[in-house]
Amino acid sequence: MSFFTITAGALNGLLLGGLYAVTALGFSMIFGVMGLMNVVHGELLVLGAYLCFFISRALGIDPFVATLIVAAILFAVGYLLQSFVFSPVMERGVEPALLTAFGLSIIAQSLFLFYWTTNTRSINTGYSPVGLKILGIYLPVMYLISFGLALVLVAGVHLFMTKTYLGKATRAATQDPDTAQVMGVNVRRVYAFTYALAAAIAALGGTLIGMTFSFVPSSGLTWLLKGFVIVVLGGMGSIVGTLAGALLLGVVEGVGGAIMGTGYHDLIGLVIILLVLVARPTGLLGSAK
Amino acid sequence: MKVGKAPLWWGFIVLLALALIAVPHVLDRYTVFLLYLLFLNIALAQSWNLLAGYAGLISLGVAALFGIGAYAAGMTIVHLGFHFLLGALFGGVLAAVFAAIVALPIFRFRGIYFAIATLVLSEALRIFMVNWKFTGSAEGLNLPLESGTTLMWYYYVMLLVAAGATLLVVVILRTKLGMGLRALGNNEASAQNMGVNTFRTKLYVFLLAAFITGLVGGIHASKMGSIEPYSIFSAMWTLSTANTVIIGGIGTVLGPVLGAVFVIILGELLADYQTFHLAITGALLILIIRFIPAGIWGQIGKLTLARRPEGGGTDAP
Repeated sequence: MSFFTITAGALNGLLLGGLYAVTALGFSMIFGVMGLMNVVHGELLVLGAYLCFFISRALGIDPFVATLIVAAILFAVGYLLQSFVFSPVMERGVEPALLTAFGLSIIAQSLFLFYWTTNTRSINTGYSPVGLKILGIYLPVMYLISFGLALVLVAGVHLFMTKTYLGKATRAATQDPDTAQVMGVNVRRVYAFTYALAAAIAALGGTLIGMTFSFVPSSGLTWLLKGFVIVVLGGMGSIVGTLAGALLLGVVEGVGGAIMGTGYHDLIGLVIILLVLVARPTGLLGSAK
Repeated sequence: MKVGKAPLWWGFIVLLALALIAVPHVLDRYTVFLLYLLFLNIALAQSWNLLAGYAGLISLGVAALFGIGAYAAGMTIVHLGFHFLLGALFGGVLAAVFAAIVALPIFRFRGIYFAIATLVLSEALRIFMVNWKFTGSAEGLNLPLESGTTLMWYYYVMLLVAAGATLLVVVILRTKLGMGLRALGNNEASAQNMGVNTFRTKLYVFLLAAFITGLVGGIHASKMGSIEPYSIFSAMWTLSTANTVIIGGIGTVLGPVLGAVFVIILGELLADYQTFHLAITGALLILIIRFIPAGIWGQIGKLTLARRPEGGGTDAP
């Protein structure tokens, strides 16, 4: 282990952080807007990966083009889930909604298993396994693409939230659902839209996971936990904070993996999160509300 | 009527106990094994219910404590030649020690943060165990066959643990700790104002639940004969336990028992449709939360009106 390996680990981690941001963004939005700990988020990502895998193959199109179709499908799925499954139990508090999401996650996993078996899959294109060598450091091209997409996506969601009516309505519903309702915001619809948007972003997250790594029906949990770590690091529900948290997690994992060995790569983030939470239960960048 | 009720209960319990002691001599091995699983479910469900149903602590970390118990038992049985009961007891103790260590940081979380923190802890532990060479990393451990321990042995041991866990809940609810617990489950802030030491109350039930869960894990490790981190630290343990309690009736003493019976029977009915078993279980969980949040036993209590479900947290899981 040398200075070089650590630098390489940190740089790779930073870029990988972009991918993490895309996968965690929807989770963070749902939590931030409606306080729902959406533990089925991992399965939404995996569903996105599977759909992209099959659609891009069947139509012979680039995975990123297929993602547009998948995003539309997941948008609809998300809208329906929030309207008919979550909305009725959310009035009773956060725990029933959490356990409902838990139930959905099990249903999704066993259906994936039934239809798509335990086979490890990945979305392959001509460019997905390619890497660039910059200053002697090997950087997978997918990391660079993910990083660029993450920046665009975060900026887009941020603009949407601050500039459009729907975005403003969403922020109003976030701050105070009751008052927003009185002021004429349809809070239920805002929630459904938020969930739908988050699911659509998960479609892109799934595509990136499938192209960069591989996935099986049970892959969701790993990504859910990463999302949780990111949301805690970046402050609960903040969009820009999600990007910051994701990049931070990427760097820490990259450096930690370079020092301790790759077997412990996934463990590092989880340990950090526990330590951070002990010191600051509202997250690293979050303000104490 | 009230005068005659208590002896009736006692009569029922004595009969049930006699029947449960007698059945392994009569029934076939498979049924005895199913009953063993039933007791295992009851014991885990009772300890989870103590946390979620009464203290308002939704733990998604059952697998962590179960796994610690299983591995502690496995390691002491393999390397130190412990008898399996001693190993399982050690498993329970180690799970409780682990719970005591993590209690301080983890009790800072409220509600869903607590739930996710326990899930993170449990997953972190699983990844660690997959990598830890000392415990055989991903391959795990092979336990020696105990001479003279048959399925019937495990049946009786697990019966004792399940009955003990149920009795423990009944006893706790009648003590000062139980009163503090109910106050805590209803509203932590007002419990604190009323003079309940909420941290200590939570700590005690957390340690008790951890001990039972670890003990069950230790016994099961010995019963299985081999353990590896993926299945032992699987989130399935957490899921099936939470499921059992919610279906049966959260925050009630008999809910976990009824839930376990229901889950085991459902598992048998769906034995030919293994792939859909989990999906149906998940759907059932969602439907119960939505339409009968009090669970089966809680709903019976509501319908008969005469018997109010014990404890506070019956309205929402």
